Amino acid sequence: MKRIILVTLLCMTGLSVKVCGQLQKGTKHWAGTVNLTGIHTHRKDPPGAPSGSSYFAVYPSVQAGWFTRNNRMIGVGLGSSLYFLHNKSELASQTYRAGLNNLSLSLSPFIRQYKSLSAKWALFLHSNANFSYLRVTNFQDSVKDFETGYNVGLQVNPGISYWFSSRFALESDVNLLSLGLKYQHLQDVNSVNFNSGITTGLSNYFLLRASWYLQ
Amino acid sequence: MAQTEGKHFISGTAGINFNNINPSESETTNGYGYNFNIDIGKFRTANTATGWSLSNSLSGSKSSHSRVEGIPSTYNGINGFGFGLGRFWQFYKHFNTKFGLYAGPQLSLGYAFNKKYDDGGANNVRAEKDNTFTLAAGVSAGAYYQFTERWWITGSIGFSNPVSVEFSMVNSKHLSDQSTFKSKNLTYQFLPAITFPSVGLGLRYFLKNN
Repeated sequence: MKRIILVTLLCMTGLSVKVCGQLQKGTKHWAGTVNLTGIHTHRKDPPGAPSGSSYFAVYPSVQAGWFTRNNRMIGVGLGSSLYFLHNKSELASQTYRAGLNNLSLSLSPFIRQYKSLSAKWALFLHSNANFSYLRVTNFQDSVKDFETGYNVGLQVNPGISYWFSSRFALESDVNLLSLGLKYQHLQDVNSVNFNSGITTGLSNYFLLRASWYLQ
Repeated sequence: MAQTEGKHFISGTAGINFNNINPSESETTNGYGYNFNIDIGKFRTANTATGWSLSNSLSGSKSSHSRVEGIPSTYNGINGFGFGLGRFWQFYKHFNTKFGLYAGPQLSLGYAFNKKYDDGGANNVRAEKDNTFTLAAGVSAGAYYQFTERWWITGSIGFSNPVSVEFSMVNSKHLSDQSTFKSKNLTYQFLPAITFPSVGLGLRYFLKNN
């Protein structure tokens, strides 16, 4: 018990000679999250000409990292967003289909610096570069065409972690401060996007990531 | 430590509302309704409570829509009602005799009926009836402060509804020729996120043990 209190106190002072167990050099880190939404509609409107539409979107992401020194991790994240929108209608026994498939794949190497608050809580600053491949497919009956594009960006944001056990934690990004720069090329459109935010107001929405720390 | 084991409690929200709009160049419209939500629970041990939540709402109105031949252009009556039933489990951390935190999962099932007029101008008005069924699983957390033995004030800290499924059936009827259109919608979501509410204070009353 005394040892836990001592380690906690040391972690809290930030002058820690001894880092919290999970953040030591050599620790491996895995994390992932997913969220999805689906909406399916079937209409008999007008009668004799039924139609339907389906929307489905899923956003999975994983990341892996290694502590190169105490409290500092380098790693790489892999994320994807998949978005499907399909419409189908029948008129005079003919079926018409149209829709859109949207795919993006991104690779983001990152550096993350941790600061322990206690044995269970830590803050981190996550800086990453992001390279995404985008592909948009439009289709109408048998006619299909697609366009590809890419975007590159830099992003810095803080986050917070809470350890449920020595190996398992939940973490979330926090919007107190963020900095981002993005360049995108898609469908003959080039766009540059810069955002920065410094706020003391917390957003009321935190997407959680499950994470594992393995020694 | 607060003496909680074996105690029953009740908490909830209730509201009624009325409104009346009286424009100079068209008909008077009004609306009225009520809603309530009651949680009834029992502390199984000093640190765990389970219970049920019940909710009910009803709304009505007097409203007007564009003229359709042969049909009155005002509607007067009930246009919505809903029921909900939920089961909750709460786990407590009592810091001292007055103050503590709680968190736990809940499951809920709901039904709602709504009727509205989709007004597309003269002779193009649809009466839309909407039946919605909802199933949701979530987690919520809160804090309490005991200011008398019988009364607690509670505040919600955060909640998460990672899983929800909703099914709705919409029946839409053209008032001019009585033709009916139907549609069905299924919506589902998996979203492992925490939402922090801006306001969420409540009172909880402990019943006398027999």
